[in-house]
Amino acid sequence: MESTGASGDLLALAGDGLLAGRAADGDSRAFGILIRRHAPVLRAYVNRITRRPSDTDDVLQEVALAAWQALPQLQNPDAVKGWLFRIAERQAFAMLRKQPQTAEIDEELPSADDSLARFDDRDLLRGALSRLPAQQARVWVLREVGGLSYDEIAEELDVPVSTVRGALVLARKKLLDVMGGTA
Amino acid sequence: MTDARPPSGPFEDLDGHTLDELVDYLDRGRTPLDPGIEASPACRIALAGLERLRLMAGGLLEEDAALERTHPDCWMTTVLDRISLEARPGRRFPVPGLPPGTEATVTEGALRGLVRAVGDSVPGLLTGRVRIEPQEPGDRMDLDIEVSMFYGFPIEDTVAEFRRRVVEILPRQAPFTVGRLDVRVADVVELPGAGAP
Amino acid sequence: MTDQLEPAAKDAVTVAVSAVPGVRVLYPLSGLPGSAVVRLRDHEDALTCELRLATDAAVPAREVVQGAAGAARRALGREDVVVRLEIASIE
Repeated sequence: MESTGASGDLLALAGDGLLAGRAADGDSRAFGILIRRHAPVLRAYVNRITRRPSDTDDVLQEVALAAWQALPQLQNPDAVKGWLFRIAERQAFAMLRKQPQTAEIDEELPSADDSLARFDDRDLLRGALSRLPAQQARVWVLREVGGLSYDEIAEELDVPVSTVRGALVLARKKLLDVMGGTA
Repeated sequence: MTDARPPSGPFEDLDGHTLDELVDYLDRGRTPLDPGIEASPACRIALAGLERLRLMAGGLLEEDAALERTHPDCWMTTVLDRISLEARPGRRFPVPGLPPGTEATVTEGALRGLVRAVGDSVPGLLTGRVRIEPQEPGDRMDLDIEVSMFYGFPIEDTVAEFRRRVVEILPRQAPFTVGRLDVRVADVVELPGAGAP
Repeated sequence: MTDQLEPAAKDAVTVAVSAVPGVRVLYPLSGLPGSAVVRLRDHEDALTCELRLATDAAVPAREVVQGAAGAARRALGREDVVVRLEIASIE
């Protein structure tokens, strides 16, 4: 069947659900399109969790391999993006566990300051996040961006729920301070 | 603004409420309405700040991604090389009626791939998941196929053409007859530049 | 079959089967990188030849199977070969 040349491009227009279904059936081309589509935000999420962008390619590779293995069990292919985020969290945590905490050197995360003339609320947030201790920033991102429950965060980071709550309070206070009570 | 502020920021004194409480209150969608919290100016400022933070958190990753230079994705090439060696074969359907000394099977993965290619060859249609049922291979199998349609193509005619091609091509390759053939249109996708009015 | 003959026999099968109409390519027999595309097993007077094929959608499966089995037997120079085929992809 030689007619798939044109549809190679057309496949890039397909929705996540269709691509996930095809990938579950073994279509690696559909899988490639699906993962590349979400790779930029997955990369950003992993960076925010680990604060080690230089390791993120390795984490993303593990995310993609784990996703390929687990796709046939995915119940709702339309929800594949959120599902990929859950896998990204797990792989990011796995990477954090593998590397000793003392090696935790914060690397430069994207900051708009020097690349854009605009300076808005989110730039403030970005700056404030980068000044938070890694664990506080991580917990805040997992809760507010990833939407994880306190229990889930505690389990993944292997700390008591009270520690998560405490870190979140500190993170929120500092972020609110920086953002100003100027609402 | 610097981070050298004393720890006692404006969110320390919340008229007897804690920040944690306010977050839980927000998580509940501010219902039932708590008159104590709502009447406190300090709480209302903190709530507004928390809501703003939450709003910004929503687009944070998309913005991070936009600010980053595009990354070469060699890691993805590695992934695709690895998974191409373990394409999902699924079940194996024995080819019946071969002479003694010759045995052959066709994998479920090969048949799904064929159905995908047949569907993709029909203008206006993209094939999604293909299910071959029942679980126990037999002489007659049912097919359940999910498809996406491109906007502007006549759904009925396009699906009919797809069915016609499946019925024509599959029996040459599948060691079973096609029983029920369900084609479900899961969604309609817009072609760029050919937008809806 | 002796160990010395085996690589040559496998090559002969690969070349012969690849030339059969409807055979696109021989796939490795396992997912491991560098895995062989032909497996020959010789025990109790019976030689077994295993292959995994990608085939052409335009040629009926039965035709490809019979063609490939015949080609493998001719390449091995004996008729009493049990040929086991798997069609792993139809393009």
